[in-house]
Amino acid sequence: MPAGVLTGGEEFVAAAYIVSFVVLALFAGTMIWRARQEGAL
Amino acid sequence: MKHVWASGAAAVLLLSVGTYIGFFHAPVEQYMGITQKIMYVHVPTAWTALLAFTAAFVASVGWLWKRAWTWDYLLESTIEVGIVLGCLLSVQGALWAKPTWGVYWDWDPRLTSVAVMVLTYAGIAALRSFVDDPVKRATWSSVASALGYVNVIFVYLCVKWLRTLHQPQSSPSTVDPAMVLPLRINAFGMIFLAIFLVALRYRMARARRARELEA
Repeated sequence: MPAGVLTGGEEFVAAAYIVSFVVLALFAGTMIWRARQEGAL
Repeated sequence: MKHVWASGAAAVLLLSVGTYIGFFHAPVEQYMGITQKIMYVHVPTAWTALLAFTAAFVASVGWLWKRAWTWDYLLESTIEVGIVLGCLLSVQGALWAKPTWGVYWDWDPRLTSVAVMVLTYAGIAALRSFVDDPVKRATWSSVASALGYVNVIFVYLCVKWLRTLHQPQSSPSTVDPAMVLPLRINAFGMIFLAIFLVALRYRMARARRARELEA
């Protein structure tokens, strides 16, 4: 492996994707719920 | 309403396909290894956050010029979506920074200006919740949003103007063609998701205004 090449980091990639999609799903779900509660849907 | 749900469905489909291609078909980057795959979610999130704040700027100018409530609904919805995307891009960036820079955070011009951007719009959202008079609320938040947009431009350009730890913008011209496809698909996915969220939030703002008028 040449110098300066990054190895590993799988846990950071997994964390970035899991956090992103969980946050976006929760935000979208909450938005739909709030819109229904407020009679906007 | 069909268009709103269609936008949400398009977002789910595009983000699923883009992420799949990014993980299983795009090559592993030569120097950053697998860590670079964070790009396929981080960059679309960042682009869409900047687009949301650009839409907020357009809405604020629209309100100040035309005084039509539709602009205020758009301002309220784009700011809220932009704040969430702004927070998310900062977390994604930190998770990319740790394995590549060795730290989660650095007071680099790009990171600092993004933090200022998120706090500015969070402050504007807070301001909107404090002011009861709808006209004052719309006008004050529009002025603050228009002024805050100066920093959004700085966020975009600081990596070109200044010597920063953060790399310059990724675009199809600076990314290997094999990596452009998932990046582009996820960018459209994130834009459709933002349209879906803004459309729902816009309807809520409109419903709240209708209740204010009734009261």
